[in-house]
Amino acid sequence: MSKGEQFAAWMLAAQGGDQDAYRCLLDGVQPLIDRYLKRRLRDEEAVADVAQDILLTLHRVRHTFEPGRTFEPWLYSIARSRFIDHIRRRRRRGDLEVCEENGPEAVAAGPTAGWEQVLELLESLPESQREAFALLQLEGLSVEEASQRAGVTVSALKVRAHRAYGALRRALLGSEE
Amino acid sequence: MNEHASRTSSNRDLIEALIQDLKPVAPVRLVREILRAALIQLSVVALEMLLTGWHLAGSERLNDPAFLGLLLALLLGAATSAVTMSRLSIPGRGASSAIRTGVLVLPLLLAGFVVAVSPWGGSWSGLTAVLVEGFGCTRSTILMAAPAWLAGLASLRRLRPLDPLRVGLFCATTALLLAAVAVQMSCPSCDSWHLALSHYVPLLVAAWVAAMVSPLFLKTADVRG
Repeated sequence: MSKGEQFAAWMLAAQGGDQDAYRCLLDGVQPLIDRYLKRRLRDEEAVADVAQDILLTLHRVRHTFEPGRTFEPWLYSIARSRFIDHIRRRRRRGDLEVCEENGPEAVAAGPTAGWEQVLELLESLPESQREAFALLQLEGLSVEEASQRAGVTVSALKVRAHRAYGALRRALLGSEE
Repeated sequence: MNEHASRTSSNRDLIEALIQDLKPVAPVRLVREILRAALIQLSVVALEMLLTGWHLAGSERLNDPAFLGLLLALLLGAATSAVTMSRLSIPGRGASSAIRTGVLVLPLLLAGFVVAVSPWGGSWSGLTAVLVEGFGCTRSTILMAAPAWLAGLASLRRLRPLDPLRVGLFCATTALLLAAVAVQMSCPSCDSWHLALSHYVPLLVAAWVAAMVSPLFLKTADVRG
């Protein structure tokens, strides 16, 4: 039996509720996921975050593995999707970083500038948005970790953070004018 | 070293949590999923036709090869779109870009065809006039497609698609193409410009608008063990 066939067999058993087979499967795919991500990401921490995201997704969509299909395309399709999501998230965060880097220069003519101004603006945000921003940007947690810490779903945390970014961006751009 | 150890232990914790959370699930079957989603959407459109007093306008047109060809093209497009949306909902399946593009540009191709070939003639009275006169048909198509689109999303939701925007796009396209068949059969006008601008082109716009909001209906909370 090839490795792929073994994974498929474990997955089918796991779909039936076999915890031992599921353990074997998750232990077995972890190195594949790590290898996939290490070829694409330099940051070790990002590799670990996305790997966890892939495992969570694998768990969530385990019913979509069809009997008789090969396992690897299914797994790598999930990995690719989570990897792309990660890149999109980074890009969004990157936008914010660019704003911060440009901040002192952009607001040089104004009375206040940089982090002090950001912190002041943070105070004006609703508690939930402020918390999301602080966990992600100040503490540097991953979305998964931050959502756990805040006790909300990943989606809810993303929405809160997105709203916080939007409010800060609007406030900062508004103050420059 | 410590960081590595903590990451390893957190992976271990996650795997243990996932194992503890494991419950038996019924594996999906692609054909069954395609049939389920397509039949649900078809049934909703049929039910709406029944409830809204739908009637066939000009039954003799069904003997016209051009008219029949357009209906068949719409139906074929709807069927292909239904297969595509189900395939896109299952990791590792997907659909070729040629098929995806073909389905999405079908309304434009049909619009181009009826304007270029003009099988039943067409009178151009200005863009605004054509759109205003045809607003009823556009509205009927969208209103008929909306419940079918939502029913399709509800059916696909259990697959937890990884790309909800794309799945939503094809789900909306399926519903809109089915609705377009019903509306075209009940519309007495065969004017080329009317068909192109009030029946076909709006499908493309409506599909993209629906796609943008589809993730709201398809996204589900991540599971933590």
